[in-house]
Amino acid sequence: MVKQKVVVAHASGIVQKGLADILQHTSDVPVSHFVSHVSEVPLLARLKKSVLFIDVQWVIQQRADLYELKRNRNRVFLIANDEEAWFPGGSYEGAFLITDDLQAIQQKLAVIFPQQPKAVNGQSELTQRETEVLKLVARGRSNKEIAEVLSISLHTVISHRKNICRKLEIKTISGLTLYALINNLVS
Amino acid sequence: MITESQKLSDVIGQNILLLPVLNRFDIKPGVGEKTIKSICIEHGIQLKSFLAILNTYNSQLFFPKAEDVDMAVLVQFLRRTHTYYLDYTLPRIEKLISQLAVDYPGSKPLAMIESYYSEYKKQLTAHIEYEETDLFPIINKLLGKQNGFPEKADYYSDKIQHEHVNVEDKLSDLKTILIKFLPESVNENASCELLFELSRFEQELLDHARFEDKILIPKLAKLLKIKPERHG
Repeated sequence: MVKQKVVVAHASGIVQKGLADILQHTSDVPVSHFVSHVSEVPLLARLKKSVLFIDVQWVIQQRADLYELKRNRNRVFLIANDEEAWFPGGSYEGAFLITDDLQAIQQKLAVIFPQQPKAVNGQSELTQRETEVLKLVARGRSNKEIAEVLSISLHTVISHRKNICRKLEIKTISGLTLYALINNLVS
Repeated sequence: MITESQKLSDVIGQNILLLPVLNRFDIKPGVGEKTIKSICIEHGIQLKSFLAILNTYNSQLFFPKAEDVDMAVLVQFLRRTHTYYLDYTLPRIEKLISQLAVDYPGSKPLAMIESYYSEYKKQLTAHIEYEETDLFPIINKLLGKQNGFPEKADYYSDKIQHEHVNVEDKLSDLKTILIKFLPESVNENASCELLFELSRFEQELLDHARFEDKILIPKLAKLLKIKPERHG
């Protein structure tokens, strides 16, 4: 999967750090870039397939065209001080208020980055199917080969692999292989 | 944030992990009552770059600005860092792992961990060698001539960013696996030492990567006369 960039464009360090922290913990999404000055707004139009959180005041000040910002399949979300400041024209996918409480922000993020909740204690065991996939990964099989061997779609293989990595907290193929070896899943 | 008027002894006292970073500027304990500014003057270190590097290592909340760090200072710092990894950190972790294996002879899991690490060490060493022999000389050349090699720009930036992520992830995977599956009978002090060292190295690599991805690459992109926002 292509990793999407997440950009937070806001002058406030509290907003930058706060949003980055919530994004990391709620959606497991790291912020790839912070923009701290309004003069950099025009450069944002060059982003591609990114998720942009931007201060609505900057959009207004720079007369930035939201259609322009969205041109390269970017998703744009506004950060506003109050509800009145939400409508600079153009279209955006959603807005965050400075006064939003944690729960409200998390609910909005869950829509932007839909995903399964993080594994908590007791839910982290691999299913039988996931174990089969893990064994094949450890034997060096590609996703396509795994799909053929198990007669499942490539999409399903990828989703199994994501769940395996999430549950085991292991990110690399070498790490998964070591895990499988130590646990006698492969020899 | 660390500032020029602070006493270096205070800074070290508050974050002892900065010591190896300072060593790379030839600053060692026994710093007396001197401020950062006077130590920089004494050692002929460029103050702005020094502060940016120190602050980056001191706090993850600090984001170094590319313009604050001199490229030549950074390259030299990264080189010293590489030497530290190759001569100290990588062999030290290897030794700590093999010590565990000595305590627990014939353990299959430990043998697997040893071979995983030795593979990892090989990969990181190769990556460092690539930077030392291919990348840094090109940067030095560019700094000297200020001429671009636009056709190579994508090649270099793509390669670096890609490899870094993997290098950190593999190390953090090793840590995760050790925490979960170290045989209970290994010496607890030895396993503590290994996990401390791994965690410290993991953090070091993340900071190291922050320099390369947030400063070195954008600056390199500028030297190569391509648009830095493509690599942000």
